[in-house]
Amino acid sequence: MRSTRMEAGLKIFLASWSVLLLTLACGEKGEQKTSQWPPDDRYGGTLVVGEIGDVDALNPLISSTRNASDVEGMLFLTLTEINTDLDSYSPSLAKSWEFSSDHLRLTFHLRDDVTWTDGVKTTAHDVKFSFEKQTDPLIAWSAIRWKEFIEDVQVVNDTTVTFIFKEVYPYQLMDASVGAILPKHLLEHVPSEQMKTCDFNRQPVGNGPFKLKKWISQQTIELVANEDYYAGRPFLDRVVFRIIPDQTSLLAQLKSGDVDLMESIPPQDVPKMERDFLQGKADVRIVRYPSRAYGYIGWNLQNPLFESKKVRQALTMAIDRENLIEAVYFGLARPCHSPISPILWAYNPDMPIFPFDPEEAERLLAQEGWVDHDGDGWIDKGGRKFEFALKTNQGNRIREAITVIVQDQLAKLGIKVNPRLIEWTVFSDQTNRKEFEAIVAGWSVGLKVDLTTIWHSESINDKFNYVSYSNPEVDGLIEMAKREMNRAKAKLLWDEAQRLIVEDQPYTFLYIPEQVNGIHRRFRDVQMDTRGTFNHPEQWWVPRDERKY
Amino acid sequence: MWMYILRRILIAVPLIIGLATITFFIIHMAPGDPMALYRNPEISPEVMELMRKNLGLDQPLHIQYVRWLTSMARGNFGISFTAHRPVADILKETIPNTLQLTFLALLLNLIVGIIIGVIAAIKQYSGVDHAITVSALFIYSMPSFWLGLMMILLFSLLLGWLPASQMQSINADLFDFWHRLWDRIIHLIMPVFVLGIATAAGTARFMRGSLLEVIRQDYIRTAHAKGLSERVVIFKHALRNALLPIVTLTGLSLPFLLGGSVITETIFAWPGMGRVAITAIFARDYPVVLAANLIAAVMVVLGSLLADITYSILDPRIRYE
Repeated sequence: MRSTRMEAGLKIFLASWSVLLLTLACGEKGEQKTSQWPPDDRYGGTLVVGEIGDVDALNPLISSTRNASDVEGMLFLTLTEINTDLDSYSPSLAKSWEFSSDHLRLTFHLRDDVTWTDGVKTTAHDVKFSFEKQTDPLIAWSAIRWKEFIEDVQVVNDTTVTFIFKEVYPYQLMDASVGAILPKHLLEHVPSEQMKTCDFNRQPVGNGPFKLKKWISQQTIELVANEDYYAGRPFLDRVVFRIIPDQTSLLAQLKSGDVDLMESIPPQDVPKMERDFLQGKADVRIVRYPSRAYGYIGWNLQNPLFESKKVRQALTMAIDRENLIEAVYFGLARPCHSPISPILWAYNPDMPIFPFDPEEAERLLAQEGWVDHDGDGWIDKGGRKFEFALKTNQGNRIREAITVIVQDQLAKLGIKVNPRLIEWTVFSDQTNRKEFEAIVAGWSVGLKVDLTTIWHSESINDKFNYVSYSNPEVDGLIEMAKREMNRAKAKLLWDEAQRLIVEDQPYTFLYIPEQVNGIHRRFRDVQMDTRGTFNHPEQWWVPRDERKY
Repeated sequence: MWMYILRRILIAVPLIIGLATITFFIIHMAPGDPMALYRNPEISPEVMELMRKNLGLDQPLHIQYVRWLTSMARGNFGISFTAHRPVADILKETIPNTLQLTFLALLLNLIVGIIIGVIAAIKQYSGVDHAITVSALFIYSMPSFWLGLMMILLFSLLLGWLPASQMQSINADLFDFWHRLWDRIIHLIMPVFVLGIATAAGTARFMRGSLLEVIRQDYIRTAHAKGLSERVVIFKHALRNALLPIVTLTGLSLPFLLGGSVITETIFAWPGMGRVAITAIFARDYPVVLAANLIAAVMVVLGSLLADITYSILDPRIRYE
């Protein structure tokens, strides 16, 4: 289920990392650049970002749209920042931190020179307040689960704050750092049930490198440099988000230069745009990196058709994934084999991959009794034809295409697939209620290695184990791996859990798409990678003679 | 006359309430759940229940209906599920934008449509008439999203003459009044053209047919027999009568002033009402959908009332008592 659900939480999580400010590194780098470019020359200019949809709120506690987190990442600081290895952290609002000897207490030492844009200092009280709001069930913060093992947050003094954990586990620092720190003095008088509609959501006061100047609904969100930013004002004067709801029109404006940056360029347009840029015919530079999403076909294991592991393996082997990727992604994706993304440390590269092999698939199906007994061209067993509906959400052209390709490929084995395209909210609802036989969907995975919400049997009811996958061995491995502090041992546990899941093939894992963004060539020191689109936006700059605004 | 208007308005009230009621039940009974937006692995089912309660969605449908109706009667449209702010605020922002666009498009539609229709009728079966008929049909059948994109490609991407989207330039705040006006005009050209031209083609066909019918009437022959010039006959005697069906057409197209521009608003990123309504339907943002629908219902009723009144002005034989 790409889009909102999983993504919302994870994107918020991502956003919390996307403002990085490392004083030491910054100073060094800055000096290097100064020798090339006179320092004054980098200040100025505007970045125009094209967005498909408007933002719902600029309050990290409330917002649920993906792009809200991009903007919030420029307005608010987090305690720490994740590094490009997606595994280690750099200081941000916290300049240092340490664990107690029993590893149950994590103490952060905050900078004392960070202020909210209204002039009030950011202190440990804001950190505690943010934690209280993040865990308030009345607010229902979308990433609330990240805080479930935090017992309490205690203020030691204005610049020292301690997180107390219920248990010891590897992701304590990540869990403590997730979520932006919010200004207590502005939000403490807002009752939790009114948080959704309070004025702050449209007039946020932050402490990040940029601040909100103007937000016209459905049109533009204009951020300007925060002159009082603790590490010095950003190079860019302004970042303007323009809302252009039609993708084709947005792409046209990226090409015409009306928009400088666009995320998620449709795959079919990418090869030509890359060629044009290399030949000097276009100004849009394409930036590609592995995304954290993957696409899959989920088999409803409560359905007798998909009960047998061998049948599911046969289904996977009957689908030519390489071909499918070429057809729908124009090569801008790679085959996916595991529930853990290859960008994470716990990925297991040595796993059965069930390659495209229709003969073997046919043999496996026959072994399970699926043969065309009545000679009607479709295989059957016990009088039941192998026929099912393959659902996906309407409007997602890639998934729509996949249902048809799968229909075609499985028909060759005598399996009848009926593609069903369903409007997003309805599809989401039906999937949640397990009213499906098979679905084409996707997940965006978090930076935290955890298979609980999708693969643990406890997640079958009301959570995200839609296919009702249940393997006690996998449950046990997840429980152990989640708590294993020794990285090497944890890796072995995750490896085994992945192997078992892949062996069971509750999903046919399809592809991992590349994230493809376009940005005008005049912007320098742009950092877009698996962490997100906007990393260190305060360091992006435009040479004076190339500025447009 | 005033009694008539009053009576019509009084009849409209139960009509609008009825329409609103039907919409309420249809949208609530349609499959799909507004909470789908929030479904997320990090949110526990208990929290979801709480959020549902906060939105009032835990109540039985008839209670939700009564609550909605009473708050509506007090002029309170509720709070949008997705934008987390009063629906009234959203409408206040978007309705003027849409009206700007659609009013100009309607004007373009009428002016161009009537002129071309009259020319086609006067020159019936001539080369000009055929050319107009064919090109009107061509434009009328052209999907507006395609026409919009082609115009963006031509005038923005290739020629760079016109801005491709939105209502104003990024730096519009810094412009003086005249510059800002000019900025708005160039932003309006393409969307107004796309929105107005297809309907103008329809209006032209209508106008032609209507005028041709009138020209065959006895009183026109009388006018000719009196020795009046062709110009006077057409513009003074025929046109006024031939305009009557156009008035009805315009009156009935009034609701489209608010809702009929969804595609154009999307293609040109025009921050209007149609776009808001469609997004709300897909997100099952009930308060916004219902408010948009109510406004559309009021527009339909008002539109036909207005058409009837204009009728009586144009045609002295019609008297409402």
